[in-house]
Amino acid sequence: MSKAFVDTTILADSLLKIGVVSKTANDALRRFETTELPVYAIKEFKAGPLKNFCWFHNKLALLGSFEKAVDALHRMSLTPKRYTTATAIEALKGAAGRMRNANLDSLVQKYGQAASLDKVLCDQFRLSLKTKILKAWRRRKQITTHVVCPLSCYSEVDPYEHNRVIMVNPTTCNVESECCLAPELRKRVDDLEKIRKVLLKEPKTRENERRARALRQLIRKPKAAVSEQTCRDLGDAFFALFAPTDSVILTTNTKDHAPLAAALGKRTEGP
Amino acid sequence: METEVTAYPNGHDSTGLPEGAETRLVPEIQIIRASGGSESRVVELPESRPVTGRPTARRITTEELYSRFENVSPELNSAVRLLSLSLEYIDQSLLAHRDNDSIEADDATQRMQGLLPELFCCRSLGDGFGIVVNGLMCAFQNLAGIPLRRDQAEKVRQTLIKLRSEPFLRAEDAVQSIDVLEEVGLVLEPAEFNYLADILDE
Repeated sequence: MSKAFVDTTILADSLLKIGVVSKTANDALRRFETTELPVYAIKEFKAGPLKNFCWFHNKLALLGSFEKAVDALHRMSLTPKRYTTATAIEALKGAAGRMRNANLDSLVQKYGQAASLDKVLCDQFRLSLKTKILKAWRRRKQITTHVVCPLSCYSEVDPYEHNRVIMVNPTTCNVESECCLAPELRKRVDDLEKIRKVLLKEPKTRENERRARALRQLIRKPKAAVSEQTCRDLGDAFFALFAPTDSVILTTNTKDHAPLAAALGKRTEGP
Repeated sequence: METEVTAYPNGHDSTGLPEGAETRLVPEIQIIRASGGSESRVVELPESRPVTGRPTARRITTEELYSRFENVSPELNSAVRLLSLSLEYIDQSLLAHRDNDSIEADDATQRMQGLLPELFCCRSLGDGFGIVVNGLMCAFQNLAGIPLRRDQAEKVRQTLIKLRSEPFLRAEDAVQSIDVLEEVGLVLEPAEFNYLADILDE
């Protein structure tokens, strides 16, 4: 029976993207008889892409101007995966052209600012983001056949709106003494070492350095309390460690996942 | 001073149902508007039904109900008027579909589409209202002139009926109500949304 252990990138593509990207992720999920989504992926999803969506929603809500919000987005210098930042920003600014036929000028007299092009675009994108955020959260457990590896110290609190902004807190675990994964991690020091060994040969990105540091701490001080930060820094290593041996790790980021999974004799697959 | 009004479903009162169109009664709603003081607010109560199963209040149309608020909210008045007109057009489109008159079907839909920017100007009614109208507006923009299929027109009608019946619907309910539009292949995000999603998915 084919089984996929689904990572955060597939979750994000399925829930937050539109068109071909979303379809590709959903088609990939349908290739498997069993699809397992670990709660760790939901936690990463909420703290990463979903939080970013809320950030821009809130920027639009508070600035009340599409133009100003896009400028703010540009200044954040987030790097799109498929386009250059300049291309993506230009495409967003091009939205004004799409609304040209809406004959908004004639409505300004009756509805005032609500009919201005900048305000219409602002609310159009804000409401689209809000729709995506609410829908993504509602559907997060519906895209796979199973949700697995519950995290007892993590509460899946629904996003909520306060003073026009959408709040996604908490995005971290409520760790009392230590991370709930600690007992399992302590049992698997050999696996942690195998992953770290492979990781040290990978490019020295900020993420890889954080991951290697977390693994080193777990290996060197197995009796020390495992913090929330250490758990979070594991990132891709979590999927290599916790994917069942009869599954493949389904991810759009096979480049980073594959060496870690291979260290434990596991496989990855792209959509 | 408070006004309390009970409303009952009347989604297909003004235009009648086209033959073969899907029928689905919208849930009963109660809307209480508390006015007075410096601000007015609208409170939606949970769906309720008399124990007898029969309404105890007089049945009134949405237009009758909302015309009472004309002086309080011009946007509400405009929204109900435009939604009723939109329903007339989409019904004309469905009738034309039934008669295999694809030009008239598309033209009636275009008349409806032409009302959406003004409907969007009434979004101060709430994000639920805005989400539905925005979804419809994007759906038509993304079709880029391709006519609505009959099944799509039926779902648009269903969505408009729901909105006219519950213009103050919650955002969460609005998101659910536009699911039916996605199910028939309509794309409800602005065309440039994929660029934004890509930037935000770091």
